[in-house]
Amino acid sequence: MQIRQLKDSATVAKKGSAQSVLPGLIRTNDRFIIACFTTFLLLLDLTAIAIANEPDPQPNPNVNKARARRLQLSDDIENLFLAPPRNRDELLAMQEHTQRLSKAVNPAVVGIRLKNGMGSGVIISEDGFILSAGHVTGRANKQATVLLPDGRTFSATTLGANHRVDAGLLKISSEQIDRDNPLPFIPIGDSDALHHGQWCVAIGHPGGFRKDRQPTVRIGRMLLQGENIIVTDCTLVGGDSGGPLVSAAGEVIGIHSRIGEGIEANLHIPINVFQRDWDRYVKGDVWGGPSPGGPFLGVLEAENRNEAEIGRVVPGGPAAISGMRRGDVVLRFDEKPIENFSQLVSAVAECEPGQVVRLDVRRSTKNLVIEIKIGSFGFNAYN
Amino acid sequence: MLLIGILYSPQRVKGQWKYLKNHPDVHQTFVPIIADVRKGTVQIEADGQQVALGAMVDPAGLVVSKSSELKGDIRCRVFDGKLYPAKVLVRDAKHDVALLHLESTDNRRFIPVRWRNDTDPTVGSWLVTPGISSNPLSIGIVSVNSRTIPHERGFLGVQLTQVAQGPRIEVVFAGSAADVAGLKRNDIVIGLNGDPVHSRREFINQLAKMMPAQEIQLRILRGNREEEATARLGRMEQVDALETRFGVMNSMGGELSLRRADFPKAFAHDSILQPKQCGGPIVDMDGNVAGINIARAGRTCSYALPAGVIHALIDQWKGKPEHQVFFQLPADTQSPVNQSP
Repeated sequence: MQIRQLKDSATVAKKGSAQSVLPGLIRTNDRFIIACFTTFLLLLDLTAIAIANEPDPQPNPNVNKARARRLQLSDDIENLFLAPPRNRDELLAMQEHTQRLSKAVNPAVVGIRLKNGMGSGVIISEDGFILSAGHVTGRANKQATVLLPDGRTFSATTLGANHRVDAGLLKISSEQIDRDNPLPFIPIGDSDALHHGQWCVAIGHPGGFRKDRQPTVRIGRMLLQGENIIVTDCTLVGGDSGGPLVSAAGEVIGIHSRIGEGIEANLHIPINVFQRDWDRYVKGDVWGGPSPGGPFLGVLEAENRNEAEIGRVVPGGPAAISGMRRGDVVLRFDEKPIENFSQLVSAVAECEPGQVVRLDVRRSTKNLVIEIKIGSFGFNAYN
Repeated sequence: MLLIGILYSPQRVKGQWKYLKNHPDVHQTFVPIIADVRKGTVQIEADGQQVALGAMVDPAGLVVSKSSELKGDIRCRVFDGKLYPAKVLVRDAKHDVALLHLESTDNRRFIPVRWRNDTDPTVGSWLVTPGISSNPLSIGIVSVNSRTIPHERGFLGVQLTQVAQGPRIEVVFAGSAADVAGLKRNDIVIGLNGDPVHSRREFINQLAKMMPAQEIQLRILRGNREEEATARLGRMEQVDALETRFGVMNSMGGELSLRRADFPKAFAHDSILQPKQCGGPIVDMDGNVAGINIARAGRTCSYALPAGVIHALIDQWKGKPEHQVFFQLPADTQSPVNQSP
């Protein structure tokens, strides 16, 4: 998959002269295409789609039981995590607590491997419910491999997902769970009770799960909080998608979703998004937005609001393969005039993956025509 | 199936800067913690540009830093602003650490850093990176405990075919190490670092053992002439066409160090650093140096070599008569000598 993508992009750059890249000379340690997770703005509020998969209804995770497992947290510690530390004693108290927190939470932060991608997730119940990102789980009823930091491996089935907010659920089937060696799990918190500036911890598997590396722990503060989004300066990267954002109490308050330009733009799904529609997730409903498999062009918006200017071309994506470049301005899409980026978004939305479209593009002073084969969004974005 | 479209667009976060973890309100609490160590921190310039930081390890003006950043005419600025010319005494390629000597004409005794001397800091522990001024450069926590950071291949950036005399270059990727070194299509590689090269396979196997930022000497046959070329191995993502999606994400948030893998032992932390802020000390909450920042490795990750690794290197260097002359402290001294200039 990786090699294939490289071939494709090399072909574009060399106008057909380089048909292959010598495998011996390429760094191949990024073996998986990381679940696509970067910088997407959910521009379209789309009609819900429910894929009627109807798996057996599952019981709710035992939230109360899980609550009992939250870290012993004194008021002093809780207050410490709400503001900048004022002196060395407070730093030491925060440090001691963060060390304990990491030990308590890390075992439940899993790697999730699907057919073509890798992400993270967090186990939230002893019967094996796993929260993750919608773009990691994709559709319902798919098989996934769950990799625990202690070395155990389980198979899981994807359940429901809300692609508008990028939330997804999986479950390890109950018969795999050994009573004598139960699953590690952490409780879920309340994302409506968060404060700006509050310290929190992000854990996940950046770059994908590696068996010689424990989950990676990062600290940061709550910068922005909305109904469907949390922004922190806990740094995230591909592979972290689906991992937990954790409060001082050791409770999951968010799930890693995507990043924006700038190191401070790390976006998480608030945990209450799952609580709100729990039954739908469990039932296997998939709704709310473009699920993997939808049409995909592979460009990022430029700052320019007056024209459909391309800010960045997603490497290996359909636009890149056809030679589209940063700074190109799209003028027409299959003859239809395009005045700004959202019109371009709508035009792509009406396409089918595999369809070939003709774009009239302005590149500096020249106008040119680029033919692009629309791809499909998600793990197979490079196809 | 319903037809749904999506394009990518950057999400920008505006405002709320007062809550950043690297806000001055947070940094001020770390100021007293680095008060001592920043006096043993040096800022290293190469040909007039800041390229790294360093840690003073001996009052005689011995500094350790990140080797692969140190090229050209080197000068070190210390905390009081004075600038000293320096030369590299030893380089350790395995750890990417160099030992420098500051050539002071004023017979100055420098202030060495104070080391942490027990175990490596564990996940969740605060860390602070000082520069030479009183304010910290960045703060963070240990993300992953000390471990081996695996090998990563250096990238030359050519495509080869086998001909009678050896591997022949078919394609040189624009912007790659091979391009910068002036290699051309149809050049035939006949030697690598002084050893003859006979086959494409052999050449590729040799290259696979090398890493980014490593310099290699190539002997090539160009037409009828034999020529020498020096290439500094790079990374695949330096070639626009080979950039991967993960590579793009990983670089969203700042520049990364060229050599950023293949360390026998390092701990990962989440302090946001620039490559030129590596090479210097990283400090624990006792104000002791827990390690040396050795690489900015990704959007989420910086690496530091633990203090113990640096001690072992220093002891090794002290064991060699040609370096012994430079040191003033005996091998087992880890406490600071508070000599003022």
